[in-house]
Amino acid sequence: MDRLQDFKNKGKTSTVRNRRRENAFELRKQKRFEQTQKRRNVVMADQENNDENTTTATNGTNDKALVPVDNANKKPQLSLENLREALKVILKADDFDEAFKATQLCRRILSKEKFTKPATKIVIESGAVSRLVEFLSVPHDDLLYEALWALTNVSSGTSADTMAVVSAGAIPYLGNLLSRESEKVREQAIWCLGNIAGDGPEPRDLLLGAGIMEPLMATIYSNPSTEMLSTATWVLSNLCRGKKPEPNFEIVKQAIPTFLQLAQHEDVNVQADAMWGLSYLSDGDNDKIAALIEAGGAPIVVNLLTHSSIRILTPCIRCVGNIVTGTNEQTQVPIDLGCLQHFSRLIQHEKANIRKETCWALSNIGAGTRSQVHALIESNVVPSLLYCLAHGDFRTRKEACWAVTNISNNGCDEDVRYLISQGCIKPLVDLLTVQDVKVVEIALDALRNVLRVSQMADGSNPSADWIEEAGGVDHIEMLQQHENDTIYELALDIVESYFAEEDEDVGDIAPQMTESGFALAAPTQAAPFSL
Amino acid sequence: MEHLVAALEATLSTDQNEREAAQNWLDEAKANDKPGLMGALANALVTVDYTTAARQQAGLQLKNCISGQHGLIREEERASWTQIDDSIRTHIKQCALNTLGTEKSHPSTAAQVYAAVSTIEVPLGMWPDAVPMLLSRLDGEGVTEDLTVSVMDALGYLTGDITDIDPNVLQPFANDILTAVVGAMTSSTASAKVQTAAIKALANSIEFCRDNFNSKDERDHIMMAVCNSTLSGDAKVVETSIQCLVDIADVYYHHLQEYMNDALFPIMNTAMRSETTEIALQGIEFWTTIAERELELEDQAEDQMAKGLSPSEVSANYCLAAQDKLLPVLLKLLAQQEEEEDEDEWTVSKAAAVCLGIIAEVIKDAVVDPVLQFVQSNLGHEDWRYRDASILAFGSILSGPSQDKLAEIVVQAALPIVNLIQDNSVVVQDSVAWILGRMIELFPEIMLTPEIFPSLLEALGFALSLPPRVSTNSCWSISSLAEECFNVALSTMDEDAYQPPSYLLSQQYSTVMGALIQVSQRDDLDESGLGVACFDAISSLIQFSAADCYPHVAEATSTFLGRLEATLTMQPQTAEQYKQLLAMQGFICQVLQPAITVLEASDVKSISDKIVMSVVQLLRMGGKSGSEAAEDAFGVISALLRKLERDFAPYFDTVKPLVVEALQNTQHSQTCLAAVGALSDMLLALQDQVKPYVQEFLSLLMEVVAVPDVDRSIKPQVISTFGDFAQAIGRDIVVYLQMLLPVLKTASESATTLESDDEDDIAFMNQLRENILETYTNILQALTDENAKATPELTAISGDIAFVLQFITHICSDPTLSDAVYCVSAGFIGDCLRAFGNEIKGVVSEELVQHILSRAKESGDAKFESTARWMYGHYTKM
Repeated sequence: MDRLQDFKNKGKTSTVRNRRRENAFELRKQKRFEQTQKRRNVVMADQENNDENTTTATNGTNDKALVPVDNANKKPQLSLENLREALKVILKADDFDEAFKATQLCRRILSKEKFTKPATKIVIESGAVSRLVEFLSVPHDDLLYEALWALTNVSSGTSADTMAVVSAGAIPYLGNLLSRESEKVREQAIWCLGNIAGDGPEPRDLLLGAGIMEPLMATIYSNPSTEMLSTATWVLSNLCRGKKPEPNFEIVKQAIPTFLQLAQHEDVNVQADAMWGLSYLSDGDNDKIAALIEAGGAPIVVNLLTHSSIRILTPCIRCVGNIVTGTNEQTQVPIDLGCLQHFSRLIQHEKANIRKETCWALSNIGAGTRSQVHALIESNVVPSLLYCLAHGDFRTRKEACWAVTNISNNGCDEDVRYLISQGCIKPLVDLLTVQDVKVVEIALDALRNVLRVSQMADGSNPSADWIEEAGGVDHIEMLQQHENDTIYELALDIVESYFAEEDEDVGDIAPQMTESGFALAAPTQAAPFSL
Repeated sequence: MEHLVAALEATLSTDQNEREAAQNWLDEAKANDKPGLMGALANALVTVDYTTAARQQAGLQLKNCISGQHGLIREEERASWTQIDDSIRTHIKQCALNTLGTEKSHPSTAAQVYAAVSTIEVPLGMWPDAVPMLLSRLDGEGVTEDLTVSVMDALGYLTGDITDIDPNVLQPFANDILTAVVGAMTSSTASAKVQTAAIKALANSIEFCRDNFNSKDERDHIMMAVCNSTLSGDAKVVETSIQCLVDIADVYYHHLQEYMNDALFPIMNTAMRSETTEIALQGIEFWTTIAERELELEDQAEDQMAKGLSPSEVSANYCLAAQDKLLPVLLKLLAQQEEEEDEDEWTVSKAAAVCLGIIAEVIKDAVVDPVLQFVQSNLGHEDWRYRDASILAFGSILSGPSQDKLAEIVVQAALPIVNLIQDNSVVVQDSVAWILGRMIELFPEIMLTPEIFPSLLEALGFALSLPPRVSTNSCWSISSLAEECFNVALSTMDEDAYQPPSYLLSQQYSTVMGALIQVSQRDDLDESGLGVACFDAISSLIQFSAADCYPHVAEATSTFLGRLEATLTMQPQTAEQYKQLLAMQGFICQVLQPAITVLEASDVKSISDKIVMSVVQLLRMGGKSGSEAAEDAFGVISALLRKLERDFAPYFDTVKPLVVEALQNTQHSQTCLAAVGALSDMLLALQDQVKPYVQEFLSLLMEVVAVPDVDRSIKPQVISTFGDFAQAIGRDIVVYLQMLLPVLKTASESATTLESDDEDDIAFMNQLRENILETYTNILQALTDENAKATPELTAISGDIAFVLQFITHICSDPTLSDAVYCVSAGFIGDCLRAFGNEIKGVVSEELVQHILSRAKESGDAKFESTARWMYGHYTKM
């Protein structure tokens, strides 16, 4: 019995041997890696933390390194105990140098992954956060920088941690620091701002209210390093993000031209965050879409649909997808710019997520005017769309289903017949058994359209036969019992209009405990599967 | 024919000579004309006039001819059967079919023959009628009970075996099979035997009956049939039908809703309380299965949410909903232990403990209060069963709930539990020794406080002197204790330190070590896994020792080395003694590995002659057997190489033949693998000193990878070893590239796409890819100079570079690719950029570089990040 391995220590015998084997592999791998790295002169990422370490193992043999480290000449140890001591110093220090040392130690402990969580808690509880915020205005750059770094670390924790930094009054200082001369201070400040902006609507609005847009835009236009620009773009996009509630559009809309410019930057990180920013700003009512179009955004975003990186493509499709949720005139803009050609390529993209987003964008065009639906069909995207409907992951199928249903509702009868000829029936039927109620509803809606246009004068209906063949009739009959009213009505309507003669009464047949056992309510035939 | 029948009967003779003669006769007949023999066996099977014994043996022999001794159908059996003449195959099938219902013995051997043939032919599309023909036996008049049972048996065997190969094959027959099976289950005249056979067939069929389960009325019908069977008066029927419900719950969790309240819950509730152990076990298994599925669904949902997707299937939280009623039942079952039960027997109490453990993972904090109540009121119960049950209960739920919720309770419970080590029941003592280990692992900051630690250590020490089952668990707990003490001490130190100067165990270190050494000399080491646990504790104690324990480590090392030497002169008299001796040698080698690592090189040098001599002798004696001792002996050699590096050179000639021998012995895969590792360690340690032997070793390794059925874990390691050769001998590797590059290319091609979502396959593929790229890197580096610039030899590989880069680009689109593979890829690209400069610019795409860089930033892995940044630096320089 396999489960016996889970009882007490029964399974340990086999795990210790595996652990020993893995250990040997690891040691070997480590040694190989060291030898390869030796030839590369790579600077290790965490070397910053060991800056003035006196090396203990210089001649490379393993045994040397096993000798306990001599701590006499070293910096204070990184431990939570020492953190508490440092915080005491921070709270009452009146000497810059003393404060600097304590703050640096505090920052180093906060930066150690194994300490970050408990250390953040201790720092906040000690009340030192407001003291660290005070340090942001001292004339002593080293201390200021360490404090800023420590606050950045604290602000990267939970929402409560971030709010602790905000309520200590950090925001105005951070804005001011953006105009500092020292690049590392500006960079650190912008990280901290990003952590705050990314934490949700409340801190975001506090930042906007404090007028953070101005120094941030100034930073972006100050010809910063690529890395700095990338972080600033990320912060700016965070400021535009979120729906409940949305940021004040009057304030954030000034970022549109900036994002459009950044979207054409050479660094892909900058581009990606700029595009995400634009996608947030265009997600909503038609005024927002209008703002993007008026700023000349449509050609830029449509052109970027040809980009090779999926990091750009995802927000880009969102953006174009947002535009086509707008008025008919707004929808026409990207269509005239040739977005459908791009979509017909992107819907075959190797990444499932891109296919899903494309289906979503197409579903919005499918909700447009009859001529827009025609444009969609003429772009020859339907076969791929139906492929997604049949073979995608669930979310892709869902979006594809919306697209198909919208086309079937807004196109002419000829368009619906075209969908049928391309094989939409089977995948639609297959969606009738999924859990998602909305999907079932729109699939039914599409099928009803399909049946409507297929009704022949002589009473025959080829689509009804195909639905039957695909096993759809049983599903639709079953859906007459569905608890959702819309589904129930749709199913009832379809059965009555197109499958009336096969209607039969199926009662509630869940097994019920009776005195003689579990019984079906009313099994009219012998076994259902023997039919 | 008379000969055959006589021989078949004689295979069951009480006289050994007769038995052997009969088997020889059969073997000879098989060697001369296998199809002929099979036809004759089929005739014997179908002839009702022959004795029961003869017919039964005919059936078994026939089945073995078709599917091999183990019942598994491998490629050879498949091929050998399909090559048999059409008419003979048809004859055998017909005989098996006709035999059904005529056999006096049970289970039906004709059913097994029929299933064996179907399992080969149906997936190949050779016998579309297999299922219809079988089911048609149930049509018409005169269907006897025996016939129905044997048809159901055959159906059960073939659905089970074919489902293992490919369930889709049987999908077209789902309706017919269900009709027959459910019909047999529900027929008013069905006997218990028929019902049991039918339910087994149903359980084996559920996977390919997906369409039927997805249709509500069909599902209702099936569920009703199975649920009603659980009400049978026959225990076997009840057990089988509950087991079937467990299978259904596992596959169709999302369909359970309509049945849970009204049917499944009450059925399982009754089953768990059944006096028939098998039924109670199935009832518990149902909830264990539900809990496992819910845990899985929760994990999946979390994964998907993290990726910004909405979960495709969600947990219905049955465990949480049922806990009120479920927990009291499970807790009560925990107390159903027998005084003298076998440790390896699966019992109701153990099943309840495992079930409770998984439920605790699912419902987390909600489990605490009800269990705690039980623990509090029973920890001092007069009946040992309840004392033991309360420890089992508490121990089982320790890893589910949040630490915050449990911490206070652990503080309060620690000492009372520690004191229970003095209990007068050995079962309770066993559980105490076990739970202490769990508490140490999960709550070290509580268990290692001055209030608890001394009593804890004393209790574990005391437990070492108790019967094996208790001392085994005590050993496991001591392993954990050493590790946790070490980690706690280390966590207060600077990040580069990897050994604390002193720690909590320092004072008592030699006492604990002494007690464990005493245990290691007990003569009941092979009971309850005591030997494994004891030596693991000793290894841990050494591996996790503070600097001030050094003298004790040195002393223990010399003790065990002495014992190893002594074992080498022993002359085991029996197979049992030989086995014990080998086990002991393996154990000692396991201890020597961490000891060599911890000791200083100068101290190791003073004993290395002895170590090498002993290990070599051990490998000469027992190495060929592929025992675990041989694997561990190579582990000792590896540890020595890491420690002594170039000072190992004097031993090279002695050790080399043993490595060679093990490399040739690929069927003992773990020993072979350990030898490949030892070879790598030699190259890493001795570097160019191995130059004279490169050709010999490489040829051997080529043979290892050429063995078709070599254990798959070996190939990636051999590939790494190729890289170690390049690293060790530098530019001279160029001579061997003609041999190596084609192998690497073939390996890369086989590692391009992964068509599986199995975790083991993913891990294997990552390993293989990592090792391939690591080896390409080593070769590339070997062909560049100290400034990483091209040497004339580099042209030997320049033709392959574009291929490797393409390989990297390709695998980077695989979402399961590990950070480790990304890291070597980054390193390889960087090395290429340095070696080839602008020549390579067109081949390395910006997108690939950016992709790796952003992945590195997300990874939080310092090694990967710095390598990626370094690569990026060289990229932007161009």
